[in-house]
Amino acid sequence: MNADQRDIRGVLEQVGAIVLGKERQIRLCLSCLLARGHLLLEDIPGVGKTTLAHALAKTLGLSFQRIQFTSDLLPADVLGVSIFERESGQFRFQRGPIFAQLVLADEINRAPPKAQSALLEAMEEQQITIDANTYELPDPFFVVATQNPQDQAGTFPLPDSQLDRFLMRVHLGFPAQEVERELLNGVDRRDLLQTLLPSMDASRLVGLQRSVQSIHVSPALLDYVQALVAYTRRPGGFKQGLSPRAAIGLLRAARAWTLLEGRDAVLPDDVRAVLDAVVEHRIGPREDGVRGSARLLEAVAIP
Amino acid sequence: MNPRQPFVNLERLSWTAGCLLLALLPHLKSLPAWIISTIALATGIRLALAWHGRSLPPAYLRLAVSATAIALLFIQFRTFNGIDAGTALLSLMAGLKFLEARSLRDIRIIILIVYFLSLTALLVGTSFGLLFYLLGVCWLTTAILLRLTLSQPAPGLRDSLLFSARLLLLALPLAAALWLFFPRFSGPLWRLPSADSAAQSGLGDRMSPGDLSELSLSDEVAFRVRFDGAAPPPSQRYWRGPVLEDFDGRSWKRSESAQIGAPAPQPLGPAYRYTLSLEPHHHPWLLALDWPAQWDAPRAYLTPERTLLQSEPVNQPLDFNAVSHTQIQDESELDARQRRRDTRLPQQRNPRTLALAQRLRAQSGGDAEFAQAALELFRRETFFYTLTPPRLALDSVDEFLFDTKRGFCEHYASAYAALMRAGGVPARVVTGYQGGTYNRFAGYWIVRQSDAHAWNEIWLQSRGWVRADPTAAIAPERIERGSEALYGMDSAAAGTWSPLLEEFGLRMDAMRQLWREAILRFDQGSQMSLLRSLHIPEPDAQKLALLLAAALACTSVWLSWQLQSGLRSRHTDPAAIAFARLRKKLQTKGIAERPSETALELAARVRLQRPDLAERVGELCRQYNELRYGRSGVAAHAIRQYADAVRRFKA
Repeated sequence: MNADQRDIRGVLEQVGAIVLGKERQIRLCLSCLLARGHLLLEDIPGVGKTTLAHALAKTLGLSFQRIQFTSDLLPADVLGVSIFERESGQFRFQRGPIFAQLVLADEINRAPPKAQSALLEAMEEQQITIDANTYELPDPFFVVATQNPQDQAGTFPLPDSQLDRFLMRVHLGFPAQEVERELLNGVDRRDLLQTLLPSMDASRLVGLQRSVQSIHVSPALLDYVQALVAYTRRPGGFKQGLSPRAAIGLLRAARAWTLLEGRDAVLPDDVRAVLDAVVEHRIGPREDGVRGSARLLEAVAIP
Repeated sequence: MNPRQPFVNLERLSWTAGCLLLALLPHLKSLPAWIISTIALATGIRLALAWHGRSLPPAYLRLAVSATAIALLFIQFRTFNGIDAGTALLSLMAGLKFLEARSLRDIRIIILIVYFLSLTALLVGTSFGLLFYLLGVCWLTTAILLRLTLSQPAPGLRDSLLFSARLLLLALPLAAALWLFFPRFSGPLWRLPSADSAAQSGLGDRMSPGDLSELSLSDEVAFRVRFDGAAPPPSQRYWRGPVLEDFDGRSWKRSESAQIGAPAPQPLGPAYRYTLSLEPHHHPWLLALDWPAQWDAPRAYLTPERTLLQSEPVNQPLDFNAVSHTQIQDESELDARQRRRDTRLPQQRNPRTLALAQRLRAQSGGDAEFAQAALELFRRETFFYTLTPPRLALDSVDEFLFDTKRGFCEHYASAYAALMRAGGVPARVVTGYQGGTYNRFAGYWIVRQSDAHAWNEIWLQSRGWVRADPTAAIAPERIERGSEALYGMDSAAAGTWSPLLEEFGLRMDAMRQLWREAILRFDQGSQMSLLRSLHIPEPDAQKLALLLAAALACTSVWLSWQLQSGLRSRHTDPAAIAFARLRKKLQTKGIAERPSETALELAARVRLQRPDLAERVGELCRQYNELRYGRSGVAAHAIRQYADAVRRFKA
């Protein structure tokens, strides 16, 4: 446990030094990765989404690829393409940028649905199939996608079914005033990124993921998770109820958060900490305009 | 639906309008048509506006419509008081309120009026069907009210109905306590609908040929009787109603009593005790087994004709106990005036009857022989007893006796009395009911309008008034087997279904009677005897009120205990029970319970609000998390210790 905690603290400190004043968001992102979930960062451009993703990849010692999604992006630009080699007289598969442990899909909602779904299928299967050949993607495999808010011009919003594949959606938000001052005074964050050294390697990360699985969940806590899920499924109020996949994801994310908190059993507090990030993009704002997760936090009694 | 959409939308308005419609249904008959159409119009306009998303009519228009409607109402009723005007006003207000319904509050007001409207139906109707209907309305309305909530999501209809049913069930003990102990008054608190507004039914104070045969087609219940012990034999089951003594050649009429205070007759046979439940018929007389000796209807008195009469008409269901003797010895003398009245016949009418009477009179010796000879005549000649007698003109007795020879009981009674009077024997017509149907499922008799009957009484020297029933001479089965015997003859509709239908009808009737005996008959007297049976000395209204308060208090305690245990039963985990207790203790110290708060959040709040308790509460919260969410295998003694720690905790 102590080794886990030491490693986690190292990661949090190092990323926190790059992305200032966003400790809670960084913790959420890390729990998402520890829970083997893909992450969606949603915010306006320029608040540090890409920097955060980059910093995480470097700190965790993961191979990193960045795909800038544009409106003319083709699936082959993501997955790779078979090229005819004149020397050998054969087709050889040229791997695309998706073959990395951490893939940053930047501005995913600027690409048309065809390219989006190429990525999203890879996320679900952790393998890709091209010309009847199946290629395994590396392990661990994370996609950190960033997207601009839906109402910006020139976007293809992700359909609900694909949003569901992201374990969490995290908003960064503007920095606080004193943090912004520090940003303005300090070194360019991108330069800092260059100097970043990994604080652990991929195998250590897999070890942490295993620790997440061993976090204890009591029946009383399962009651709470079920009460939350059941509440969203009641008629009226929510656009749609939480799926079983979402419920499983919620529990996994809560376990990862518990590990970050340094405890060995999940408390309702851990569920509540990750609730907004896990459920908000699945249930959406309520018909009366209240945030769905806020309503859940307030309305569902702790059993 | 989006957040900008108004709360009062088509769906909510429709549900509310539905509730109002259900509450108005029992009033449809009594409300003026224009009020019903105004309500329908106002509601319809509001629904149409909501459908098209249009805004409400301007305020001055709404005000004008309301003012006009209320003025019209006042012009029609001349008052806002009373059941009719009050109900109309309530209904009108509910309908017009729709025109200005724009917020939750408006809809709630309409719902409130719906509850009141439902109640007002009970001021005029007392049937148990109505009560169950209104309970249903109440159930549905409560469910709709539950769904009218700003907090979202509004519960589904199914959940609301279930919860509403639970609320009604929980209210049941309260209702029972109020019903048993709320002080009752011996008279009605409000003026009941007057006789002129209600159609009179049943027997009248006038009998023309064809009246009773028409009545006999009605299946309506006239009254129900439960005998204390054995019932008299069919041939003795004459139910006495108005006595008719004025004859104009065609119709018989009730006349004003000539004589006050007839001497009590000597009872000959056994006394029959019974309870009679009279349906309202809007006439002043009560029905009683011939001849009534005692009765406990408070305002009733016995006329010299031995009819039970009261000063005001029977407009409400009336229950009374009575004692009757089927055989009496009447030794009263007939004074000259009464003899004159009871032998009077109209001049120059029914000449053939007069001739016949004189012939018979000459052949027989005394009055009794003459009466007997007349009955023999009916028996001998070919008279037919029929439900559909031919119509008769002015000299109805002549036509009947010599031409048509087909008649119902009123024809026979009329002809017989005319014959007797023509022969100088004082005679009169008694109307009432004869027979009745025994309800074998509940042990009482049902007497329907179809059992209506007319018979005669003749006055014989030293025997007084003696019953003579010519119908018994012609159609003895009518008397022995009741009016049903006739329908058996007349209609061939007695199919295979009829026994089942009959049983169903009797069972339904038994239920109605049970309702009446067990619920409606519960009055001030019953309350006092209930108090006496509870060993409360000298019961009066004040003790009743005390008892009511006590019963209400008990019910409230029971209710809160129910709710409490409902809360408690949510937890089976002893740690959770202990923690709930801790929350309760903190609540008494101003730290409100929040069900959606975790232990750590609670501890943080205590740290802010009561820093002095923070340490102990923080420790208890931490321990709770460990016991409830920690790895399993927590020792029982740890939980016990925790419960003890909570018990010792003093905020």
